[in-house]
Amino acid sequence: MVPDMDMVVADDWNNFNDNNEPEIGYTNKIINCFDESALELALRLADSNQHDAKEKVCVVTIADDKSDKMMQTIMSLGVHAIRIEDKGTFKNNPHALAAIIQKVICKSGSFDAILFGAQAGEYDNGQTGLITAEMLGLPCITEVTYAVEQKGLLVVTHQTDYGIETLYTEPPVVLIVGNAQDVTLRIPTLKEKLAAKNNKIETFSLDYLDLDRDELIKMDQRIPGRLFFEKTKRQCFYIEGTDSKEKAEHLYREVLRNAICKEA
Amino acid sequence: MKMKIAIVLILTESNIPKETYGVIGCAGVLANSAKAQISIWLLGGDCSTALGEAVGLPIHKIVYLEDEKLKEYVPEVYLDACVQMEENLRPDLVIFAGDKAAKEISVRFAYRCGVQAVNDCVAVGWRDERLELTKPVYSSNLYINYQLTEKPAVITIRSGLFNAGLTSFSATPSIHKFEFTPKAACSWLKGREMVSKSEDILSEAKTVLICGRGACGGNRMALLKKFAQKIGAQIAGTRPVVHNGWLPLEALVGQSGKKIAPEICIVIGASGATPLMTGISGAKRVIAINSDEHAPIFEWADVGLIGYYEEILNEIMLL
Repeated sequence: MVPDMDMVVADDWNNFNDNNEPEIGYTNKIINCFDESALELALRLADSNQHDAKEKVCVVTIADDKSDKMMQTIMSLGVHAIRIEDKGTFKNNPHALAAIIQKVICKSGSFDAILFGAQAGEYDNGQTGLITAEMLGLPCITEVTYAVEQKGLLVVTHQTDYGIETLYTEPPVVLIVGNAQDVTLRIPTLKEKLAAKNNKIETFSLDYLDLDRDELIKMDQRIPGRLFFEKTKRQCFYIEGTDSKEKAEHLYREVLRNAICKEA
Repeated sequence: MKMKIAIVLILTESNIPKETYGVIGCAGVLANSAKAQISIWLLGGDCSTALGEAVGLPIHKIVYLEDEKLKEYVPEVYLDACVQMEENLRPDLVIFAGDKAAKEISVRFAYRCGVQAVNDCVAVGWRDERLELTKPVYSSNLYINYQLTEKPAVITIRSGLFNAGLTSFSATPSIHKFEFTPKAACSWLKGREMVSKSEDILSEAKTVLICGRGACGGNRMALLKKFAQKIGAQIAGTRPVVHNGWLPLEALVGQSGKKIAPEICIVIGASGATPLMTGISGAKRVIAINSDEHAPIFEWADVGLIGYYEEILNEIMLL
């Protein structure tokens, strides 16, 4: 769960609290776009198996109870939900996040596919899924755009530096979902929401997972400085005109024609 | 002892990718002030073309690992190779060059070396004899500096920010072959097939037309494509545009897509959210067309036109 950064008032990016965090606490908590795609892909994998999603898909978040509203909505899609209690201590510590997720996976049983969103949008490390794969000793496929089960194999389509390819893989694998098309997260119906309203989010503490908070904090070896804002904007020259025709003429004659001719 | 900087290049194609030249420029900045030695590690199934190109680069040493097992890109095999090279060559700083492969291998490589990678660095330098890196956070709205003390330091660099000309020395690199013993078990991979080969037309384009969500949908892509053709531009899109399938994945520009640096970048129907601007910050000239006079895009543009783009483009098509 991440703050909805589209809600942030531009000036607030330069307004920090005593913990050196931007003052954006008023924003809603949302699922980040990559996690949304990952969840939808997981649901489609479950659909293709013709089983209840709840038996098949487990959603894990590391957050405080502010995320419960969103988790409740996710649960109406028929999935099992686990929240590890944390007030944001580890959001910039991918090693700690991976260690927590690894423990949850080990405690919760076996999975055929472990899906992650590519990055969270706050500290943009993009490392948690990769490190979790390393900790679990599992193969990892990044930039996943689609996955489907075929005859016991996970057929995974992903972007690479050399193009888009499909891999036929034997589970279990870690899949890191990047930019994917047409995998917008489905919306639960009112009926589904009502059916799931009494479902409980399973909440784990670090103690329950046999993890020590201080040891987890120490896993980040980087020495961070303060967050800072840097204005890198440009000086805009506006094309004037009484109507679209005049503006178009000015744009073409004063800017585009010369620039494009010069390029040619 | 002289500090050792290694630039790792995963050769998923035969040539040295364009982004590598920026990484060499970045390594040059660090090497100049620390009197460091720069090596490039070439890993691939066939390094011959890249070797020929690397000889002309401003680096001290080329170490290449050419092996049948590296003919197909399997990250676990490349990781194995990188770790074995690290164990033998002991670099102080490892910079992974490239895009997707660099991102994934660098993080896993760092984990196997017992350190933590810092990705997407936009500035590098030394402070108190420590490597200091600047990285964008909060969807590139803010920045943070990190200092790294553990060795090897492992980083990736945001493309388009450095150029190879920043190195101030010229040296003829020595060439060394490296042999490795593949250990990774890849029995999990039962088969693979290419869906489509990528063509990196955006990185080379002089003029790029960026379509935002406000410009797409319905039949409006046809006008945008026609306009792009008239002005000789390559067409690209923001994340929502690509996500909705209006343009292919390769056309995505922004924080999670391509970072481009064309001569002219025309942005239509995009509000100007920071993640998009991250992808075009290297553009020499940004021209924005938007009907909302308060759209943040105008703060990032050199030239702005407030108006309805369909009317504007239709008029330009007549000129």
